[in-house]
Amino acid sequence: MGLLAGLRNSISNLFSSGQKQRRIGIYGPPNAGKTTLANRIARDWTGDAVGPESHIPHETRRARRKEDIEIERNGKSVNIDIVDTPGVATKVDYEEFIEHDMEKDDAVRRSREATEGVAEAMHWLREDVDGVIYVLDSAEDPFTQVNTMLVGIIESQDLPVLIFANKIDLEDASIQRITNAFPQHETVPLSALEGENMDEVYEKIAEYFG
Amino acid sequence: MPHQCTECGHTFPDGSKEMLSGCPDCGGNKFKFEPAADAREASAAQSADESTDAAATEHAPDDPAAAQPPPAADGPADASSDGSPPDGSDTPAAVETEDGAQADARSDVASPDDLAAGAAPGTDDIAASDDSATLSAGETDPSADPTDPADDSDASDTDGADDAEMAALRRELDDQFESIKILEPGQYELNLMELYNREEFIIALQEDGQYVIDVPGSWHGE
Ligand SMILES: Nc1nc2c(ncn2[C@@H]2O[C@H](COP(=O)(O)OP(=O)(O)O)[C@@H](O)[C@H]2O)c(=O)[nH]1
Ligand SMILES: [Mg+2]
Repeated sequence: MGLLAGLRNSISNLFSSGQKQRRIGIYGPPNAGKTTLANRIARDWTGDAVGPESHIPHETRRARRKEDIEIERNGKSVNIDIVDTPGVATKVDYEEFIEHDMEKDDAVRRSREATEGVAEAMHWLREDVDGVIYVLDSAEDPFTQVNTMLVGIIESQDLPVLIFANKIDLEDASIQRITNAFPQHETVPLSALEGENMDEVYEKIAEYFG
Repeated sequence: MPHQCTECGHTFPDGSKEMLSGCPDCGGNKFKFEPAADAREASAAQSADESTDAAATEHAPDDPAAAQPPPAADGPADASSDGSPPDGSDTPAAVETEDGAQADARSDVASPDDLAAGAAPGTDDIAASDDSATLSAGETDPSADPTDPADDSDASDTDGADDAEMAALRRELDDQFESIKILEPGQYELNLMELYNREEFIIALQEDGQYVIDVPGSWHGE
């Protein structure tokens, strides 16, 4: 099945030193704009989308991958697979969905799927990702336990990581707050929704993950 | 009892090594885990002796390198998983509150692991835990906490009070490292570090606390 094939691939990748395209995981808390970003990257370079975006948290409950995206920058081209992951949280509560006008049954099911999705995202992070784009909503406080822990795990794995300060179109966005939270990493400001600063986004992707 | 092949229904004792090479009957590699609630209730009737002896045999040191939390993330991992600041009762330091732990040991019931081990004394439970596919929801890797007293002592040689204490400490550690806690249907608490450290992959979660897990295929090289 797919999972086993995936694991086998990840193992063979280890030994085929950099020839294969690298798998870039898009991680971050729920609602940061991960799917919006994944869709924009996929549309810009392949014409297809990756998955539905939504203001309801945990819309993405299964990792979705878009393979073999070729990004060209400064005469150089890089091939990556991008994996849009479910938002990582330490708590998932169906009541969150009830606030979004969902029936209780649906909310409970969604909550369970979201929890499985987090387990899956954590598993891929350990097994199957060669680089990470960590997406944050720049209108939100970046100093959270989830952010600290995930970035810590990513660092401990020595994975190349870019911090994306998304939603800079919002009035209370603060890029500085994110730079302060993760001074050891490069922060790229953008609006995935409006397509702001995408040139720099692709430049950095090519530079870090090429 | 705790694991069952989702293909043919073959059951395995908790942490059985057999299942790591796939189901012996049908070759399946998905197993359902049946933990907590039922087993805990059933075990309430067990004698203290039985459950504490069982606790002594339930874990063996794992490969420490595999299970040690990454240093960079160590701090946040030690904090409670619900985002509240560590308050002592939630952190590994809490193992020092022996009074509480002992009280728990007397009132609390045996864990499902206790039960499984107790039901099959002298089986290869110890061997099973060195393959890091210890799959129960509440199970922790003892090597993740270097202060774990049961790691290098044979509890069957010690007296009952020590056994009870150790079982309580064990349970407390188990609780802390549980990867997904079901507070009620639809409400979950996730231990990210523990999820990250798991070798196997949870693919379905059921409200009664059961998981369906997928053992990595690379282990039986099919
Ligand atoms: N204002 C603004 N909203 C955004 C931006 N990117 C995403 N969003 C919105 O944020 C919500 C969550 O987006 P989504 O991509 O589903 O987040 P995910 O949970 O991280 O995958 C949606 O309502 C998006 O339209 C952005 O750059 N600016
Ligand atoms: Mg999403």
